[in-house]
Amino acid sequence: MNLLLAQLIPFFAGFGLVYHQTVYSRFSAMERFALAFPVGQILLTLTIFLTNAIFGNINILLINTLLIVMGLGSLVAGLPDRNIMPEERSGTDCAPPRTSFSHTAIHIALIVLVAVLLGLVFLTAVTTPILSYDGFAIYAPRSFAIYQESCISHELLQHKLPHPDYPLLIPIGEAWTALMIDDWNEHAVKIIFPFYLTSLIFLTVGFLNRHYGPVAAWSAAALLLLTPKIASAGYSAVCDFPVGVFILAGVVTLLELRPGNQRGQILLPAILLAGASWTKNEGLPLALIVLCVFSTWHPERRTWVSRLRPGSCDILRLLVFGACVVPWWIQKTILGLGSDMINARTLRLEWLLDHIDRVPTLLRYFSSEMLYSGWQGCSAGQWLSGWVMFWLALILFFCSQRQMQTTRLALVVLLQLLLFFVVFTITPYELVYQLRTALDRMLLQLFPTAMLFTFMVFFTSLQSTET
Amino acid sequence: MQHVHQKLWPLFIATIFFTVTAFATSYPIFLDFSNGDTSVLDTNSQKRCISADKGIVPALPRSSQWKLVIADLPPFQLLDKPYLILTVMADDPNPLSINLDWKYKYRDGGSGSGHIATRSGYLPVLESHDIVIDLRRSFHGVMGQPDSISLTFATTGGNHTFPLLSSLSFASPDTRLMLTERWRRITVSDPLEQPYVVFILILSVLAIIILSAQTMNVTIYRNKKISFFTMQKIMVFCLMLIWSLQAGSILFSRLDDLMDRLMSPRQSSGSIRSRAYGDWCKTVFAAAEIIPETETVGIVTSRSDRKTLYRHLASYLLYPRPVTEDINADTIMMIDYYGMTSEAFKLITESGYRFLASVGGRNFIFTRTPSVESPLTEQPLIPKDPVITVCNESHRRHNILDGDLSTRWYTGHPMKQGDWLQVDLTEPQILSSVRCWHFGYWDDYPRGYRIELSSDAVNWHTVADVDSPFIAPGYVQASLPPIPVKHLRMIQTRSHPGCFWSVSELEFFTSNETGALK
Repeated sequence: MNLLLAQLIPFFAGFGLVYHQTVYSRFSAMERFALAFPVGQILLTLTIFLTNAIFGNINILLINTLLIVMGLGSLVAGLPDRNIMPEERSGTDCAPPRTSFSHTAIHIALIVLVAVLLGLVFLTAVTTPILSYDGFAIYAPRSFAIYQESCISHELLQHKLPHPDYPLLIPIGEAWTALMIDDWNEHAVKIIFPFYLTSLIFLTVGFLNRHYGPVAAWSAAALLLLTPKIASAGYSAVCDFPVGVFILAGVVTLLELRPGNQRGQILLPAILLAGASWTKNEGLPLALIVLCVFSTWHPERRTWVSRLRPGSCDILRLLVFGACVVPWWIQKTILGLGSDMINARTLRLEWLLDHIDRVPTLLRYFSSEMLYSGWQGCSAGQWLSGWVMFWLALILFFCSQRQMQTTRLALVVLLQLLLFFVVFTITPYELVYQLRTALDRMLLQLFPTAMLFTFMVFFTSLQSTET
Repeated sequence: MQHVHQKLWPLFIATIFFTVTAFATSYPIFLDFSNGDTSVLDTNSQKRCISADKGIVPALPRSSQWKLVIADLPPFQLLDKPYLILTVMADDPNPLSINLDWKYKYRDGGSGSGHIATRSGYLPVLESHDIVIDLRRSFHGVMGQPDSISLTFATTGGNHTFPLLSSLSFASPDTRLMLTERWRRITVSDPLEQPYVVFILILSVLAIIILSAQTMNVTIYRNKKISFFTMQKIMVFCLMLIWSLQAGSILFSRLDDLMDRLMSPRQSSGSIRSRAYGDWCKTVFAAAEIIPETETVGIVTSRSDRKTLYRHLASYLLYPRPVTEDINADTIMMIDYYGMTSEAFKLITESGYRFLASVGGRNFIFTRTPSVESPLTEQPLIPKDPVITVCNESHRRHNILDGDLSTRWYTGHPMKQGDWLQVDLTEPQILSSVRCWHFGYWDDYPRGYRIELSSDAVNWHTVADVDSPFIAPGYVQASLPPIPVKHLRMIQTRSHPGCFWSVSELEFFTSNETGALK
């Protein structure tokens, strides 16, 4: 029961906020549920982090109360205003378009398949321990320490455990479950990961369903769930996966919430993208790329200058994002927790030029991971041809169709890939070791967004009609 | 045509990019054996070199196939020991399989082929592993002297197996005699060429399709034309179909795994592993209560994958006690591969550590000095011609007193209440304690036991009754009253659904105190 409550209470708070933000939007109930979990996890993290900073410990009762109040307050505040006419509500028409895919039998079969696959992931999650190296060697000890001490102590962050500069969303999420059930149970604490996977699937289905119909949406969900890297991320507690979910959620909210809907387009994407930077250090630049692309890339405008000019909403969103991220950065600055990889030494042009000879090696490994691992003849690789399809979709996209939203998505994924390329170029550690241990996990952070782009391009192609 | 160019530029750029990448990242290499040495890691280029700046032998990606062409082969008869040695190194304990096949060519164009060697199984982690090819034997029956041989070096393994081809040399395994005549040219073909080729091929097909669809409507049947949009749809549909077929194969394999798991639940060791994780934390907590804060604690684990975790957790849980893994590097290496053997145990205890606890039979806690009890004040006693009887006679009861920790007696069934063993001494002895080892059979420690003494084997008196000893340091030990004992019986008082009760050795200790059996 407590295990359930540990997930339900943050979920409720998240749902309240999501409902408040998206009440006039086109979001379906499925998307709201999908967004509620990650938003709830961020609210939980921020609440625990701030109350711990104030009171010096984690008070379960206080945090539960705060979360419930947050959820209830947002729900009440978010109830639709009766004075707003239905036609003014931008999100009232959620009916999916009629497409050539609308076959009920296939639709139902796909739903059953996705449900079975999700069930398998949950089953595997609760019957296996934490499997990923980062999950058990870096994050689990921190979660355990937070659970053991019922607080986030400076001593803990500074001295005793490795990588003290890593953000705390996952350790707090795991420790919260342990605190609620009052036991350190490896199976129970990693239950958040299948929930992240469920969020990803529901979000993808909700979004694609609205644009391309249910069969396309559920096919995409099945393909995602059958991708070994994604399915295993749901139970192996690999902490890069939630970053991918947060980035995708941020991107989807930015794509869907229209400029007229002030409420939704500022707070929700900002919070979701802040979640990425609370999960891993690389989440911050990834989130900034998303924010910058959506703030400064307006292809619908006429002149180049106006295309690159951010609006007031964009600046506000950036400020909210900063406000969500800043507590952790203050803590890091106070405690002097610096990154061993990205620092003043490595962020110099001379350093980059000194290591430019790594580019061929990087190209080898990137292409090995994206092409070779994904395309081993006819047999399925770890990415299930996902990356190969992404590159083909990219080419197809530039060849035939260039819509504003998909252009932004392509830009986001390409810039994020470039970021990782640069990071690997300047890493002070042995390059091959880094590539072999981290590249697939880094790509996992981009994979959900890349797949959304791929599906959008493919389904648009399949639906396109000759004019 | 302008329209076509507008549509096709991304495709051209992508094709050029991947072609250039394919060329830029493939590297035929030249290995210099004139100085003859095993490879070193060049810290500047992060590449593995045979000697200085001449040759590179890159790390092999998992499940890859490499082709090494060794040209200008020296006459075998000039070599004292004509061995070709490929030294590989695995950085992960997953099983690895290496297959070596070769083709040879003569200068005049003749050729042949054959299989050289297969190595499979668990390679020692981070330890050089030589695959020695005896060229004379391999080429036995081949007429003349081949000019070049081409080796196909294929590896398959688990998800995290990255075998490193760390050196390649002509030498004997013991002398590593190198060639000095001239340089031997070796080219290593790139395993990535294959996906590049596939990908470039796909791009080319894509280009042709789009080009043909853009420039002209393609006639497919009886003057029926296919338009660009239809072509595009067909192409995307085919891609989706391929994707779905791959997904289908994954689905079947996953269902297969599920069936396996359902059919044989014991194979799923997840819960056992998890329990070990939890028990480990609890054990370290328990240890922290009895180890003084100034003690140095040694953590040894055969769980290579979790070593870092345990060290970090131990550092946290035992703080401020210093935690070290550096008990004895050789021993730890041995434990990594073979588990805790009595030799490893001996090495650790000889280096001044005292065995404190084991968890799950894979993780061990040592402390620098004895702090829990002090058995060293007692003298071991070797009884003369003792008679051992046990509840289950068929499982080598003589191992109980053979002085060898690596052999054992075991119940042969999951331990249950009432399992017993009895030692009858030929004459009464004064014992101070008895130690029952389960060393090497870590999970088989008695979950609860009772020790009874008797002078006539009829009337038994309980002198120890221990329930669920939490820390299981390879043995359980019970103090005995200083009285003459002729018959000693140890009885199991608890059960376990899966573990035997194993006794690898029974030790008796004596002191100078005396007493009378009441």
